[in-house]
Amino acid sequence: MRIAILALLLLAGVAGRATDLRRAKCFTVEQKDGYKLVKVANAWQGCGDTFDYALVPRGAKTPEGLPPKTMVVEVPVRNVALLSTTDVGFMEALGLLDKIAGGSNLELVNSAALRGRIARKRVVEVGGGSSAGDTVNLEKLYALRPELVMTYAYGSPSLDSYPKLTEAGFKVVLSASYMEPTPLGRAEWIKFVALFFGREAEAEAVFSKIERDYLAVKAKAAEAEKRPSVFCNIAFKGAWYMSSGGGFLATLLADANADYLWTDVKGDGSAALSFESVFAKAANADFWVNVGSCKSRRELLGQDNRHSLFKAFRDGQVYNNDAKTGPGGGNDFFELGVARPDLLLGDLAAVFHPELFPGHPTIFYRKLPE
Amino acid sequence: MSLPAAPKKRRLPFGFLALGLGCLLAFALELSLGSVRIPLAEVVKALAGVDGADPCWEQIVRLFRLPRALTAILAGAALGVSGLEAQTFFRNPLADPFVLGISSGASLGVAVVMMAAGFLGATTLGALGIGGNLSVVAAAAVGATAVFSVVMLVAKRVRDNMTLLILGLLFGYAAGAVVGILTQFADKDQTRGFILWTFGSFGGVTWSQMPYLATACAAGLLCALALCKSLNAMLLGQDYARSMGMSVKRVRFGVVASSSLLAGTVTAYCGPIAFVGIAVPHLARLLFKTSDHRTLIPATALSGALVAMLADLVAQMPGLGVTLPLNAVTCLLGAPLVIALILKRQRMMETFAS
Repeated sequence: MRIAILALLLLAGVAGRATDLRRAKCFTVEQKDGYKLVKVANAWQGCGDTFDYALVPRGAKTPEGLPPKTMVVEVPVRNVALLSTTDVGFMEALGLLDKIAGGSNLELVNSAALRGRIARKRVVEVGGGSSAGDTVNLEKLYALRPELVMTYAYGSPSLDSYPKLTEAGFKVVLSASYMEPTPLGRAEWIKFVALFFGREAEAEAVFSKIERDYLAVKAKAAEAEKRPSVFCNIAFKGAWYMSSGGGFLATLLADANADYLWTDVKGDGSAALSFESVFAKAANADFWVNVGSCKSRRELLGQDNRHSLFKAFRDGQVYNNDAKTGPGGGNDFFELGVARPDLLLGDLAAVFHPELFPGHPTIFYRKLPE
Repeated sequence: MSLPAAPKKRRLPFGFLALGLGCLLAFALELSLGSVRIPLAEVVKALAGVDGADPCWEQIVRLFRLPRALTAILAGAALGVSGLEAQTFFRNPLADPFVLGISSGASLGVAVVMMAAGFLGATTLGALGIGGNLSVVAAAAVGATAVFSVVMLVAKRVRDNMTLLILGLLFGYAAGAVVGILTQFADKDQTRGFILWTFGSFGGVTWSQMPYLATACAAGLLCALALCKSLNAMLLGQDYARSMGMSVKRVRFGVVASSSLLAGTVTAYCGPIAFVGIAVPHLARLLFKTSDHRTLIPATALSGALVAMLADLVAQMPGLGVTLPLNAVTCLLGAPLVIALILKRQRMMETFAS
């Protein structure tokens, strides 16, 4: 009897229990008979369908009776082409950099270890030279023949490369982490990446630590007595594109115990507001974050000298997320930052509540210099 | 062949009075309506600089709405007159301020600054301290001036105006091609920035830039006004103009120069504003039933200012806080209006027939 239970437990262990997802909303994992069924929902804004992947252990028989649109992937995958640098952070945290055989926009990579591999020609550039969408140089990709191609889709026939790649016979997996509205949800996509390399346990450990640290910073920031008001982005020709109230940045700001003034902006992207309405609401706000490409207060004024009307500007409380920019101009906020929301939150909490986080060095954020 | 018809005398003062009143009303609306609700009394207080005005509202009216309204007036008048000059110069109702390739040149300049930062080294412009809006204005001005110089050189050598027209068109294609290549290699944010620029906006001009915009527009408008008799003669063909004792060479130079100055300046500060330049001259012709430039130039300037302010009012969606792209509004609202007028009159070509 005991042995039977033990055997059962062992079996269950070998098969791996269904990945436990706590924050991510755009993908699901189900343990089926002999394979894992991964479904990506919301691959882009308004995508009604799911993209389904059957992850079959290498060498095992292909399961029968799969729905026709399910793509079968043998795991663990031995090499992959990443068409977006966003996943590099996940790969590095899982110790999988050696599996990256190709990528696009490699000059934007920040990870020192991966840059080293690129310099040693261990990673091949397969991009088509544009980052408007993930255009791919098909010939280079053919020469490389990666077992898996990981990319994103925008639901636009002119920008998306996956239909063509699939047609060409590549195993293309769509990631939808960018559609996750919360930082923790986005970070949990490390489990998605891990599934293809058989690193679920490591992913769980890494994510649990990040989640714990994130919640700890959030709890500490919540102790602050003052909740400073904050706004983001800059004016362009009299218009102001304000990040939505339910999005990634808004969640970070709220969790850092700051009062984001535009929580009422709906949707996932941003809203085009007029400069005067932003000024009316944020004239006396305490902080101003994410000022785009502006690298100094002078550049901010060069963009529009009415930026000086804000109290946050006069008080010097303007912070940009470009402190950690790589040698190729890629902002690590979008690479490491996506994988490590605990660090992002730590930065913002330290900016808003320096008394609670004395001496905390910020990583991604910096005070805008003169 | 006939001399341009003189407007019916009683029509003139009434027409100008109506246009002037319309402009005043639109100007008042521009100052009092916006994303933020400000009571009319407070607007007046803010303008008059009376003590006790809400400082936030005062700044909104003085630093946002007033320069925006003035920019709309200047840009509308400038584009309208520039378009009128182009239509007369080419004797073609489809000509507009950008037909000489001025806006293509400006777009190319802006595209280089906004999207080629990667090639030029992202820091060059920032290090010069002219980053952002100013560098965009400078780039557009440089691009427009470059095209302008080429056009003037050709205008000096070639007698045929059609050659200029074709040159402008071809330059537009070439510039478009370079912009396409730059877009291909630019990242998403840079591309987005460029696209936003092409939307057009009156809201980006601040008081520190206003003197330059105003001076250039005034110079171009005065130059056009000084040329009004020559423009009348030109409407009847260059040979006729020559027989009238006109120095065709000098007039051509003046017309191309003032039209390009107006179009180039406005494009530099506001982006490529579509439609106003092509439609407003027709509007003025239809309203005043004349092709006499002594009437048409001021009428076009006033109509242009009015149309620009009305379009800007709609684009700002008063009270809602969000904004629409200016170019979309000028085209969407303007097209049906002009189509209606044309269908009513049906004799568009009349003024251009020779």
